Amino acid sequence: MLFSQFGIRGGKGMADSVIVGQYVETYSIFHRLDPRTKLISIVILMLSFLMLGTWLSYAVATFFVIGILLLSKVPIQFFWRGLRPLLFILLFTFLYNALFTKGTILWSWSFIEITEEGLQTGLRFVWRIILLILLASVLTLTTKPLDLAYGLEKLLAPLSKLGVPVEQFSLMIVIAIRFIPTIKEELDRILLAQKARGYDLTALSLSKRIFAYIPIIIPLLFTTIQRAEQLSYAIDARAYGNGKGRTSYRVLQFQQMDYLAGGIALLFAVILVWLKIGKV
Amino acid sequence: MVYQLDNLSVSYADQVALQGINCILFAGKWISIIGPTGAGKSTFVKVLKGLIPTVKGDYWIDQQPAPRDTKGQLKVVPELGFVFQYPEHQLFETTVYKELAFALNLKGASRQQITETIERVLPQVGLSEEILPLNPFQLSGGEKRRVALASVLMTNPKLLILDEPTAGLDPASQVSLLKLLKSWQQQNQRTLLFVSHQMDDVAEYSDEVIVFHNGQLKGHYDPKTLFLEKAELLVELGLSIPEPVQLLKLIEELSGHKIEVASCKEQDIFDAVQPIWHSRGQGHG
Repeated sequence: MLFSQFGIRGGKGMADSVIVGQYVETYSIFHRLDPRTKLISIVILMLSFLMLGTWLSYAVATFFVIGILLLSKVPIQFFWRGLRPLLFILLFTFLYNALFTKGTILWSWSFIEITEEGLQTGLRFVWRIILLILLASVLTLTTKPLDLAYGLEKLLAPLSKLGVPVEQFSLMIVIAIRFIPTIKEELDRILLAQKARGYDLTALSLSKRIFAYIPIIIPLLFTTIQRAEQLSYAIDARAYGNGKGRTSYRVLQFQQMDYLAGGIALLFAVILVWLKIGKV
Repeated sequence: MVYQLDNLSVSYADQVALQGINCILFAGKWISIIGPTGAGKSTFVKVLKGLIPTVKGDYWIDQQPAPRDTKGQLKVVPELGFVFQYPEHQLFETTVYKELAFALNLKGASRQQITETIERVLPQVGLSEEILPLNPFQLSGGEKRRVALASVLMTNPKLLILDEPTAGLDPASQVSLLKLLKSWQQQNQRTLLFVSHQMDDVAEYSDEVIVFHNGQLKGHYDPKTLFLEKAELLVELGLSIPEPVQLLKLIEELSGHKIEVASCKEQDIFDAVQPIWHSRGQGHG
């Protein structure tokens, strides 16, 4: 089960088919935005969603998010893929609110009571979570993981003055992302090697299957740790951490488009706050 | 056991890895597989082991179609042994004994069967029984490699595939490992497929050589023909000419005579060259 998730059934060169993250290239406006703009805007938008109250504000937010989804040009099934694993949590949230909110009783059976207020709160909660997930999906679908890490590093750079190791942390994230395909390739190799020694998961009884991953996981850990050690020597050998910080080949630069996008996000947040305060 | 491929092709996504391969591998031979990186050598040996489920064309084992599952995809061929590059990376048990017993345990063999097999296999890879209780991770590189090799030999394969078995070993370990493999192959009359970039080793141990280039089978040669008469093919593919053969060519060029050799093995070449060298020395004296 664990491995079939990665699509490692056959002996095919799996590493070629693996895409890290969920990035989809559709050449939309969002793809061209600076990752920092996207990060800041997303944070502003998510915070503004805390202001959602009336049905009107929900409608405004929904239209805004739908507009963003359309602009991203990403096919709808990619968003659905992001939502699907969370369906259970959404259902749970809805039921919890519907059952445990006091108010006008619509329907009851022994101790179970469903109230009008409960249904409304449940729906709102679920709706808000869906909007948040869709928004976050736009970020990950239109931004390459490495760009995201780089943008985050630049945004958090001021913290390094306070002694927070921002740069090291960012390098860690970048390395982690970079090595996902490599480790999957390694996994593929080990799986084939053990298969060649007669290892076959499907032929084992259920009780034996619990321990059946050991021949895969131990060699994988071993080679991964070995590789990490070599990498750390290589980083040291290039004098990382001695003296000045790293510079980048690509320097992020805000464009007109970025100011525009950030402005729109801010405007939207202001509208939601106004809707909240004005109780419209 | 005779393994036969008929017009076999393999492609990954939109990339062709093997194209129209026709070949027959007879039993009891050391068959070397050479070619530049990305030529299709690894894919070829993986197909033989049945590790690549989707292939075009036919694969026969002893005139019987190779085992396939209900969807028509190739299944792993159990009687073939496969030693991957850096096989010591697949070790995982706490003792060498458990490591060696792994494959037979999976087959449900008895303790006695396992012990007997271990007693037979250990000398084949040049290890003693003192190593059995040790942790495989504490062994030296060469010993780990032999343990990994032994763990594959435990299944008593009819055909053994080795993907660059000597990579990363010191020269002495390389020679001893190859000599052990040669005697295992000859004594048990087994077939051995040897994927390598070391032309010196290929010339020394092979009975046959298969050359791959760009996913195609360029030729199936007897090593003497390939290394002595078709050396330009090796150069064309970016492969080296074995050092003894280079020496032979040099002396032929200097002396102006064609020298007859029994094979392209180091010893045979030296035996053929030596009298000429000596006679030259006498001429001067």
